[in-house]
Amino acid sequence: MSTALPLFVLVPPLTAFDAARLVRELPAAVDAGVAGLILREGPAGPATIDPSVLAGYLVDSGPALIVEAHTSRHAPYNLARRLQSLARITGGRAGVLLQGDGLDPLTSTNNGNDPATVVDRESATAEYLAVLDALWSSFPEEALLGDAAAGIFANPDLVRPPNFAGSLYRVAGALNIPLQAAHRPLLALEAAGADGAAGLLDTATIDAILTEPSSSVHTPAGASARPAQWHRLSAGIDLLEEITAAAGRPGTAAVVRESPVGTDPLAALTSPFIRAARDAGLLRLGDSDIPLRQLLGPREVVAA
Amino acid sequence: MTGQLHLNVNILNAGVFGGSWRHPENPPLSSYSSEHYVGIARAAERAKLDAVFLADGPALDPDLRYRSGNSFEPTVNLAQIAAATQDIGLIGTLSSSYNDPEEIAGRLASLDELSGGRLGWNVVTTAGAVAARNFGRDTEPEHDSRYERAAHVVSRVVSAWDARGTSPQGRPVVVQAGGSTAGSQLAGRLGEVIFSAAQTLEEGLAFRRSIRDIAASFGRDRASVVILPGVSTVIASTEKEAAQRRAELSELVPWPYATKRLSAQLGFDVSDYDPDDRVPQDRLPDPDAAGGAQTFYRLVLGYIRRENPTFRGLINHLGGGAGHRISVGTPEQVADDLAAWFHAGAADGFNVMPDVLPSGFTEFAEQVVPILQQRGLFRREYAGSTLRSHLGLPVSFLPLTDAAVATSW
Repeated sequence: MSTALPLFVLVPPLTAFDAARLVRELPAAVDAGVAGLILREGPAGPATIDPSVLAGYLVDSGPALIVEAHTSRHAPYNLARRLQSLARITGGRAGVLLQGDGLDPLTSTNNGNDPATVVDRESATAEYLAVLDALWSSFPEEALLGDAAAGIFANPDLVRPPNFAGSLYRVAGALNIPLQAAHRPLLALEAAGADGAAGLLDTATIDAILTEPSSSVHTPAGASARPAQWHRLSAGIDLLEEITAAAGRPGTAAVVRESPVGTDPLAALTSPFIRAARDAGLLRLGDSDIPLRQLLGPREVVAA
Repeated sequence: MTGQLHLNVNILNAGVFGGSWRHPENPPLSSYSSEHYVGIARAAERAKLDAVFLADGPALDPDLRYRSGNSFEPTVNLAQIAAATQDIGLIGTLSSSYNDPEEIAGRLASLDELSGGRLGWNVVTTAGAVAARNFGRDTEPEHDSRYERAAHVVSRVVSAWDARGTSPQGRPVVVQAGGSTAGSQLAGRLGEVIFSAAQTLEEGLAFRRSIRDIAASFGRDRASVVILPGVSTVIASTEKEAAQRRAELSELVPWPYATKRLSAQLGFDVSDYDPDDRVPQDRLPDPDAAGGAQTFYRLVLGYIRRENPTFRGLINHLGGGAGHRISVGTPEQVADDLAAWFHAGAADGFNVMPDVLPSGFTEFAEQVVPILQQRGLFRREYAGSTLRSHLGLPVSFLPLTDAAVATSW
């Protein structure tokens, strides 16, 4: 039995000019059926717009916002804080597509680890994920009291600094921005992206895997739960059939469309296929206020 | 001084005083919603202010039990504000100690471009072990080494901006606020807007003269530096009501918070003393020998040496804040105060820190700004739409360093 799925659009790194176009085109795209955006992070150097800043600019525009981030560029505390901020502002409609590609310069400077010596990227990424996980739950919403009469602003006993001490990362925490558990940022990996993604699938912290076009991800034996799969649509023309097939596959939580290489970076956002899929009843709509975790559903538990 | 002055509003979460969050004019938790910041920014834009300013540090305030703290990450917060406004400048604080220069150059440039050229970066070096421990360190780096890194990081970021060449305002504005010896050197060398903290007109005059002298020593045009002292505002319809409001704000500061903060500022536990004892000046180190945040220690020390206060008097004077000057009075009196500093040459404008937010800023925007406008001291309309336009600061020479940012520290 297939069900309607939310549609995300994978947005390539944008110049300021194309980011302004995105802002103008977005209302129509959301109206047509786009539930969320996955904002790619461009390579260092070229003048593209940072995806976390673009997400901040779009927080009042409607769609859920997934920000791609590379571990080689962002100290985990800084990234965790930006994502927690986005999650708080959007009511839990933010997340990160993490690319585990090595150690960032700031961590290296303070820890003394040469990034070139970090060869086990799976372990490095697993450690980074653990830091994010711990930071995102370090300042629960219920710690905020605001008791003006008693002069007690917050209950620090409910704040849980992780005091993380791994082989690469040492992060005391806690974050200084609180969050409800239900609004926690979504954490996704890309199946064909960073090294070692397959080995991380059993990590409890991972919520979703962005798959290759027309494929699904094999969960390792012994895994207790599968991350949700975000099915990346192929560049083919039978998209409605492909969405129908993806919806019928257990564990598929969303479909993702991207502009074909060499075309207008916003082509996927403005494609008439979106409205056609909506009119065919294939897209999940009307979810502009609910947290991503609720939109995408719980992780599928694997039978023992 | 002729011309018009500049005004920022420092959206310092619930307000500048330690008990601001308790004031009945505003919900206690309002500063933990992003609407708080967007609303104040829109009000600032209606009042034609140069910019909104977000102070920040990458750490949880250890005093959170007793007062509100910084929360939203500044570039995310300012990006949301940018989308909700058109002209107001956007100045955010990011640490040079705890950010990578390549990464923040791109992130800040992105915000500048999306906003149409309205971004300023307030460079801080971030004192304290609490922040240091979020980035793999056990202790804070030594004071002067933080400023050495800051010069390298700022130089690298500005070079990256110039190479990118996409800023609608030519280049984002560099803002700096350190009042220590090393901080003043950094400000004079690379700061275009300098947030300062001066309690007296003489301190303000001396600081402005000093920074401009330092700038000139680096080959910069003295006029290419804008000095904005911080000023906290307590405004009411009558002088008596303003004084009452000030007293109420002192009463609202949770006493355990105030004494703990003062202990950290002075370097010894003030609870060892009776609140009505005079502050023992022989226990106070010379500022350059003090670690941590030297700017405010200098201010507090200056006040102590002038006034010989009791601990209670000192805490009431500070209001649980860091030591910025507090202007208490009617809208006319506050306007007179700002005008006097401006005309005396002690300030090019002010970084306004309202007593409580947002209501205290509403008073300032709707009561004080019109007086300054009527006197010809402040703009009635924006002439341009970039932060540089508002500040009257074209892109100018900055003596960057070629030294590489250290890969270990």
